[in-house]
Amino acid sequence: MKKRENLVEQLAKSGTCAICKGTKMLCGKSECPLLVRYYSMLKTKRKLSANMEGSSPPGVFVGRYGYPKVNVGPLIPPFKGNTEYMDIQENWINMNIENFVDMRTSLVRGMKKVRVEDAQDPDYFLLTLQEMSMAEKHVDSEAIFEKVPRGRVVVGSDVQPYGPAGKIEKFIPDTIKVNAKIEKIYYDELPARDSILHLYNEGVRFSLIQRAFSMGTMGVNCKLVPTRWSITAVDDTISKNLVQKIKDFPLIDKPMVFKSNKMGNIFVVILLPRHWSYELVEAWYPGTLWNPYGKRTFMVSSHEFYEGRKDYAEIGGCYYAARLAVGEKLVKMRRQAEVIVLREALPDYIMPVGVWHVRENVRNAMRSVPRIFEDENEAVSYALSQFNIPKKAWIEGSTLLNRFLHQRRLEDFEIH
Amino acid sequence: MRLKMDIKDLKEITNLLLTLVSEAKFEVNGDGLSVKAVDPAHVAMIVINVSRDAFLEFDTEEEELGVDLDKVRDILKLASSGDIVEISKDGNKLTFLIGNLTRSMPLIDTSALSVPKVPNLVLPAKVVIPLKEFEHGIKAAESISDNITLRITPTEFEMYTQGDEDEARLNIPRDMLKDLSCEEPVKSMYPVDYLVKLVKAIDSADSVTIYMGTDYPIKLEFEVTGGKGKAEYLLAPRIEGE
Repeated sequence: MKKRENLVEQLAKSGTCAICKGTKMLCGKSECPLLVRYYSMLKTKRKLSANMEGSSPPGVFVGRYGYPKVNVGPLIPPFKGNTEYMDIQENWINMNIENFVDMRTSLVRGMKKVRVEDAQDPDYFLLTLQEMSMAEKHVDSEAIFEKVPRGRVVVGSDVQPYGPAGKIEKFIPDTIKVNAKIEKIYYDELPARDSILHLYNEGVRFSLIQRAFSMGTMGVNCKLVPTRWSITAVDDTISKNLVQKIKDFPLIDKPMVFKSNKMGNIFVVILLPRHWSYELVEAWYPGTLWNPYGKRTFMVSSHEFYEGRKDYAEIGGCYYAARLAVGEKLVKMRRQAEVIVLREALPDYIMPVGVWHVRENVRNAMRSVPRIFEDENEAVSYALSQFNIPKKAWIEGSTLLNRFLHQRRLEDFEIH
Repeated sequence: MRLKMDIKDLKEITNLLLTLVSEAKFEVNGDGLSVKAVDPAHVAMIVINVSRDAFLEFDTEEEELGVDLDKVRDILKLASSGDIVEISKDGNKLTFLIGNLTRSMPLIDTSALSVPKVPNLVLPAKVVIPLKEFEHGIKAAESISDNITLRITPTEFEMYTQGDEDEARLNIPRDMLKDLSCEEPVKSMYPVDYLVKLVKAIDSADSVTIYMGTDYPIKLEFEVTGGKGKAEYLLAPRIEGE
């Protein structure tokens, strides 16, 4: 699983892509991931120079290599305007994948090595980034790089894509207007967990909380948190709190099924009128992003029973992102349920776009009108019929479906 | 309310309940103490009845106590074996006194704790088996599969597990069992993790009485608190095929 993010490289190294050059579709996808990436980079490159002016959405990036000494810096596109949308994950789910990757890879990453503890006593550069991480309106900026920014774009299953990077020599932002709710937290010495929950309950959007958290603006002995870790930390913290609330609510009355199909991924969410348990099951059939060579469908899953789980989910950050999306809905309904989230990636899911996509796709499902059933078996059958993957594969790949079908409950033997 | 008991007995009751729940409603009256709990998945249930004779002191009206068992477990960690614990209720507070140590905790609102209905089951076969043997059968299965199958025939009791390649089997003939009554063979499969936790928590009993049917819940009966109490544990079966 750890190899996920290097898969495109592996393909390239194995020679497959070299023979194909994006013309024969040897990898089984409807578009070549390397080409999509390349085109986006070219578009940015055309306008790049060592002295750059642009409007940061605002955005920041905290790297993880070399931890606890990591690269941080602003994200700046090579143009000015109302660029806020470029760093608001909540608005991306209706985009098509090419436009999305194009938009994200036009964000140039400034880089400067700092120690994660420096967040407690930031210099001018770091303080500026912290302010930007807490701001909602774009920040017109001027950046002077050592050389013309270039290099690999960041694409991975956890983080949203980022464009080329360059060592930053000087960074001159225009005025930054910080979100008042986050600013207040910044001066309160609240533990990070409480800060995150407080902001979430105040209605601050996930992506803004996560960005500010990653820059070490919360917590008592705050540190910089690499972007990809911060996403899961915030998903986990918020969703754990939601689940705690859910356990006090009565069960839903009837089984229901929600569905969403965006960006080459089908998500189906089954809610059963039972006590809280949760699972995310993913199916990658041959030819899909992470199963390009396989001959059989590849199923992965992680689950928790009522008591929750202590160790990190096998399938990664998407587990926590989907838990947040279903948790929100149940808290809004003030109901408890057993939740099974099924995901099937389609061949047109040509490259990983980041864990935000799981959160927003499941949120999109939970906003849809559910199908409501009288009977749990009907609900499960309907849910499994929404996919290309056969029913049997889902059942074998899912702990909770397996339990649902085979494990009886005591009330099933009630003599009336 | 004032109860005095061996720490060992409190520990046994708490550990048994903790295999299924983290909160429970205890009922005390002139006869003793009783508690019922069902796990959140509704797969297993335990009913414990402890006679007042199990207590060193038993001075109480009829009471319902909603107790956070995780907190009780923390208290048990502070005690040594052989200690006596005195439990008293004052308003909405439950106080544990062990030696010179006092630890109190708020009671949980009992209306928030559902008391499970004990299903009425017809279980045609019965065996009485030494706990040690039962434990063996379960531990052998644990590393092989998530499930264990139990079978009673007129001549023997059998526990077996089939993994992809591995297999474990424990057979006890009739004459090595304390009791066996069975007219037709019965067989059911159960989730092994529940039984693993259960046998770890059983402390006083030397033997367990098993009641079973085919594709039906199992009922295990065993002694608690040194024979002055009794527990009943019900576990729903797994059914193969759709």
